[in-house]
Amino acid sequence: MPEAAAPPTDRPAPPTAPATGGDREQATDAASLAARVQAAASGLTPLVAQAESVRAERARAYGTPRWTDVFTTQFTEFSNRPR
Amino acid sequence: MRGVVDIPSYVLMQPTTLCNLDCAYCYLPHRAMDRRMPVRVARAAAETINAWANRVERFSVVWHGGEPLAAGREHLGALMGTFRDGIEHHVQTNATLIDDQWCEFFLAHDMEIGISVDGPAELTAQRVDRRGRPAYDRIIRGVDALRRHSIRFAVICVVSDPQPGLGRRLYEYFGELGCYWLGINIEEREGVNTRDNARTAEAVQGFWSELTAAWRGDPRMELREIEWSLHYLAAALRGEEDTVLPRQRDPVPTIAHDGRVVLFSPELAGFDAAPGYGDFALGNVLATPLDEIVAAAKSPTGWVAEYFAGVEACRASCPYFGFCGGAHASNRYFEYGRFDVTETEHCRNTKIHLLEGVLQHARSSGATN
Repeated sequence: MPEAAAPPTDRPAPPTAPATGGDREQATDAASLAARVQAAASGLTPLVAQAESVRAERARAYGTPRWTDVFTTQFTEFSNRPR
Repeated sequence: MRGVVDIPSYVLMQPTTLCNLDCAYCYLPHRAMDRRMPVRVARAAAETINAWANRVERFSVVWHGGEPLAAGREHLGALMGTFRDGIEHHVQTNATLIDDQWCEFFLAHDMEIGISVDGPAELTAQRVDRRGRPAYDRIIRGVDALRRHSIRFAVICVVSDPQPGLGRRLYEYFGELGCYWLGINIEEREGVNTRDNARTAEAVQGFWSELTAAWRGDPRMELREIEWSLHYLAAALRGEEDTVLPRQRDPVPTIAHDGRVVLFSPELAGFDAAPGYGDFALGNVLATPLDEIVAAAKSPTGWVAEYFAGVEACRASCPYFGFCGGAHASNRYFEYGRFDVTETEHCRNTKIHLLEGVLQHARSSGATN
């Protein structure tokens, strides 16, 4: 059975906080993110509608997008997008 | 999202390590060497892949490099010939070698084309050959060939200095170029590219916000990051933000030129002497069937186990987990030297600030509605 190489034992400890913490003044807990999404609803709703509309239009024109049509070959970027 | 799927949706194949360019931000360690994938490697991988493709509706093979076209049409055709009909073939290319003959090859093999270009000539200046000469004119000649043959193409654009002012400029450029799809990669510190990728929140969010505005005004092309963000935010508006990610992780098998297989992060392939780890291969298709190598990830050992621990730490600590599914293995390793860390600069640039940039645009547009 294949095995992945074992991590070395003499590495630096993992950081306990982001290396550049200056960007973290924004809310970082899940509840506040959800609240901020809801607070932006009036601006988000037409954006979301446009995204759904153009996606449906493309599906009519080109068929259902293929998995890798969507992400092309960009490695792991958004590779966990739902199929 | 827990565990690993039985059958991936695609594999990446490296037909050669060679690239005819020498871009300033490239992460590939062996791009000056022409190590070509022997046909027997492709044949060994195809044994599993052809069987997988029989069991799913769609399966894709993505030819990546190096520069995959540097392998030559005859050799690439021989590698592709090991796969059964119906498997979808994609190529990601720097476009400089594309000519009429390559276009005929693409059409004959029904290939999907992705090219790499970073905007107009002055923004593509980091894409150079080994003599330091800009590649832009050669890229555009390749694009012209695609146009002559009516071959649609996607674009991946690397942005090294994201900031307000650039987003709209890029969007307008790529609208003129005629791509049907655009993905933006903020430069990453990984592989042999050790340049600092820390950016300010204000600059990166401003960049993404402006790109959102540009797409909103003229959604002529699919814009990967913005549309994925809106897909997530639509679910979040419904209170279903935890339902967006797939149930299980795709292992993204990458088969290197010599048959070695890396999972989860193709950027880890080709590192023969990563400090402390040896290499990141989980096997070689010349010795072990690909399906066995992938299945082994269900009982992770070594660096994969450490990576999974890192993903669980992301799940426990990051409010953006439902959007991204956990920081990528390669970014963890190349930024921190280990896999059990959580937030990376890459997370901030391309996940957190992306989502916040889209929200920033939504807030400003909502205020003016």
